[in-house]
Amino acid sequence: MKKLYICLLIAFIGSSCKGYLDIKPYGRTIPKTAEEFSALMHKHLDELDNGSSNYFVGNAQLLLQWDVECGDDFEACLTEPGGNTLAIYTGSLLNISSASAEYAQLYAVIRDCNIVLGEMKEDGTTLSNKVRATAYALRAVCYYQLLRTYCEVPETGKFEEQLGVPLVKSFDMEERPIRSSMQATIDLIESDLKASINYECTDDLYRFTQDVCKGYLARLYFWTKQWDKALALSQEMLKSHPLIDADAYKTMMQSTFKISGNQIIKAYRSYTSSTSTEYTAAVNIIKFRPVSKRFINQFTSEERTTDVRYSIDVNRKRQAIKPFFCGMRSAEFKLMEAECYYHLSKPDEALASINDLRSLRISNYKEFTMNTLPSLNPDEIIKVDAEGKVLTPLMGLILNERRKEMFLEGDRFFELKRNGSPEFWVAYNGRKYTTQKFMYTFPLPATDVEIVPGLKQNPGYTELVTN
Amino acid sequence: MKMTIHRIYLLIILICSVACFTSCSKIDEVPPRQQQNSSSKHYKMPDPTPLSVNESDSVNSIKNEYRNNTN
Repeated sequence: MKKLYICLLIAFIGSSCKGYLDIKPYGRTIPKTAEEFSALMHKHLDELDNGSSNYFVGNAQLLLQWDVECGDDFEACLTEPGGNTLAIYTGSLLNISSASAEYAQLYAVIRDCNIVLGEMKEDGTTLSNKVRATAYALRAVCYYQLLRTYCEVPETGKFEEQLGVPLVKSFDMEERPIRSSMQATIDLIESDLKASINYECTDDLYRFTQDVCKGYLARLYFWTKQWDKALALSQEMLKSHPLIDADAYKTMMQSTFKISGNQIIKAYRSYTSSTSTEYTAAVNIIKFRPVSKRFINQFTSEERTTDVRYSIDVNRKRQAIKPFFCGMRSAEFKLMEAECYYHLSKPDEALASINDLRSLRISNYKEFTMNTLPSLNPDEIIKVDAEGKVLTPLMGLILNERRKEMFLEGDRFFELKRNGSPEFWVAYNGRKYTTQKFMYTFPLPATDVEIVPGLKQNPGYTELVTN
Repeated sequence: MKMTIHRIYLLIILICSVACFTSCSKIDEVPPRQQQNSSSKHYKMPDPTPLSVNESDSVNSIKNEYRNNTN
């Protein structure tokens, strides 16, 4: 009788719950020590260093996408047969099912940052502080890229009404948030960057140091048109990373795999075989789509011999020869300074900033005055500034300078988006492809819109088709 | 006495079985797999249009200018 009871007891216990030893998340183990959390962050920092799958700072393939395929610095109708794999225009990129790869990749990085911030004990050790600083910074940078790519241009005073991106702030596989307001997205990016800055991480091994975070905060303020805040931070960055002269600039821009001069963060700092393959592929294919005459015309005929940028940007066949730079460097802050001054109604200071930059790029430079400003370039497709006002010669000069300085650095498409999102067309094989206003804001992945109730898609994306 | 022991055993078995059946409310915590029908879908972009005569002329002038100035 006793044996029967024991057998019954064992049978009940053994068969009652097949999953009683299961852990969450399945198939993975959450790190425990600071070293393990550090490894989780370094996985992404390694991607930055070798340029693979790096959507948060960018790599050569991403620059090809933004500058050569989406922007107007290159001429699609002159594409040679070898460049057939280059997308014709922005719409071609959106016309494929992998259009939202960037979205998924950025949220994958955010997930790992959330694991660090949610699970790692804040024990006050130097290592855990550095890891937390990195997690806050990386999460902020990912949300900043999502904001620029998947949200419309911020309109001052309407941040609460405009759509942001879904905010995931903790590690929960079952969480399916809908889109936040743009204000909430901006607030999260700002608070994460400030949290990272407060850790005062200066260890370059962690890449997203205090200076890098300040730079991103300046970018955030600039993108969201908070001119006074962007100005103050830009000037702080320029103080710690001053501009350099033409020769030093040339050396800096040609050092592809080493951080140099006033570069603050960059991809490709470790040269591996995968780096080499990815980078070389981009260098090879860019030759097949020449730089547009519109871009060449940004330089006067005299500047084509005196401006150091022209000689490192293009060759005689108008092929882009400037090494890809994915990162952040001081000149961007000088350009921000000029534009912030302009929008804060300080034109003299804005002009002085531009003269400062030009004097370091052009030999025997003669400064512009308000009376000698060049007239607006009729080929320029940007007709209004970031505030929606018609371009003045001074604003035209600032934008023109930015276009030359930031050539092939993933900037032009977002400059077009920020300054009126102008529609323009390109021709290819006898057909006309128009970049329409809505295409400046990429669609959220169709999968997410289908499975998350209440998730709103961006305007213009209505009809789904199968590949 | 024997009856009491049997009752105790039965009570233990009853308690254990109730505990076993109710202790694990979610035997499979993985969220249900969604049918991701849209993974191979994308949003339709406007079709390209044929170039007008003026537009063709402008494209030809770009090509000619490029050919004449880079060779």
